[in-house]
Amino acid sequence: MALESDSEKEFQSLLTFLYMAPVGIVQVTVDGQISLMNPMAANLLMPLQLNGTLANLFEAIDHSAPEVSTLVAAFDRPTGIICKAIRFSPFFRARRYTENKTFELTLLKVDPDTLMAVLTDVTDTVVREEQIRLGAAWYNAMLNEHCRYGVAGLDQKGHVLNWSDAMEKLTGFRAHDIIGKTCALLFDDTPSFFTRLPDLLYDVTESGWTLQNDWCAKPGGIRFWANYIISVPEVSVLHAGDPALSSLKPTCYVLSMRDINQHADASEKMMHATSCDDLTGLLNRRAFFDKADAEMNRWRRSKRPLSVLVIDADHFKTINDRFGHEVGDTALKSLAASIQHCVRQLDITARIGGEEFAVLLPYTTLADAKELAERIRHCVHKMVIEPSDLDITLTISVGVAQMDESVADMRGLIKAADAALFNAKKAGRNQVHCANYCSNDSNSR
Amino acid sequence: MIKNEAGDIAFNDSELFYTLLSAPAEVLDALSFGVIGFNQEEKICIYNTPEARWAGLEQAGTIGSPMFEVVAPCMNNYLVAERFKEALANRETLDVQLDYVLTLRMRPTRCTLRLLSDPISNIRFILVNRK
Repeated sequence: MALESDSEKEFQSLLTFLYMAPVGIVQVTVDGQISLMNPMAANLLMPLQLNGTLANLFEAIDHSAPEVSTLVAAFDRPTGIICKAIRFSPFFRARRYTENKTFELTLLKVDPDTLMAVLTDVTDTVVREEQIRLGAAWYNAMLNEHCRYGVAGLDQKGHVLNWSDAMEKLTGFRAHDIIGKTCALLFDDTPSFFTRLPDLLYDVTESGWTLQNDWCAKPGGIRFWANYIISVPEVSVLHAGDPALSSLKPTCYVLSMRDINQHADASEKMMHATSCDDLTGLLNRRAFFDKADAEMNRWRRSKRPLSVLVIDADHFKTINDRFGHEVGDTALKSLAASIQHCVRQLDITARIGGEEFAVLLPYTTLADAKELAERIRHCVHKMVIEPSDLDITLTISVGVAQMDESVADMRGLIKAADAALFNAKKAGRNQVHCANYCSNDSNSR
Repeated sequence: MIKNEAGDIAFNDSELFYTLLSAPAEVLDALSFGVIGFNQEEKICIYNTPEARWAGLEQAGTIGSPMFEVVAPCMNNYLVAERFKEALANRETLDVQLDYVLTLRMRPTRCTLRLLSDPISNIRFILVNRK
């Protein structure tokens, strides 16, 4: 009797141990059928499901990390680690786009028929890692004397106040050509940078600094990809409405800039890896929403038009099924390239789902957004997907929405564009539809 | 009608929240579905026998434990826990049913959950009906 109660106690404590484990643990067959799992696993996986079921791990994460089942199929040894800590943005089927998380998955084959999976939510870790990498990248840039790195002072409006030799070497501008003029001249797309400049400077005043990437152009026309920080010198971070703002000294901002063409070093690659989608190189969903939130804050302040496109590849599953995943991947890459080709540099383009993309368009009205959507649609329709002898045509449906007072936040804006996308699909695909609440005036502008 | 016998109480009853509030422990323990009650601090105050038996947890040991951190970490997401938080914050009643998969003794188990909350009481309920 005592023995029985002892083993009962042990069973209890083992159960409790698994119930409370702060990571998801799942035991599955090689086909992904779940035989055992702990509560944290269900907690992480259930929001990815639509109908309240959860029987197969690979099906559960198919939208989020389709490569996993391929990895498992390709792993031909009887035991061993199939993948270690691979990261993906979970796709929350029941609540599209609104969650912004990163999960990490490790898969271990324990015998020919059984896999163990460990699943964790590493969202906070990713944010911390990005901050550390950013700091490290700048620190390296400043220490490395080979780095083309320069500093300039700007006034309240972004006009150049002082200029260094390093800046001259980096940008090709001589002091007397640039001092007193707007720093927008340094950038390849001067007009669009000039439009954005007041917002950038506002952000800097509010948060102390901003970090951006942009194409710069030397006076001779040579372009280089620059990474720059605009920051507030000496004065500690000021808040909007702070009386100290009005009494700022003439040198308001410091522009620190470097050429990152030649410095695509490991840390750059890592930074790229955490914010970009592996396949297409576009931003991933999390990075999209980070940037989108900043644009949304700008919209609240300035009320300058802000629009969004949600783009979905038509009948994409058919391409995958008929020609295989590799061709499907190529099609997605071509699609991403076509979108990139049509948008401006300041637009924020991301892959937000399997075959779904979003483009956030600052300073763009619904009418202009619609026009751009048509241009992308046309461009995609014309594109050639390799291998070209397969003669694959891909079309897209696009939903367009413009931010206005009736929309609460980025989630609402995407939802509106998504509803328009749904209408475009329903109406026969390969077309652009605008969100209901703003479609009435779309032709008048 | 005052329902004080387990046989009278069904998972789908419209007035179930009030019935559960007044039901004695032995009635709750004799129900055919699981009942977890927790207070505003999200500490467990009711954990009936069927629920304890399915989960393999000791009934007495769970009373007072944090609901979503310790006893039901599988529901600490927007599908369940956040709904209770929203209902509490907006002082709204909550009565929804959803299909879910629980991990009773680590076995994935399909269930229907019913989430019940009402501003009139500090106690809120999750009911578990196994399929």
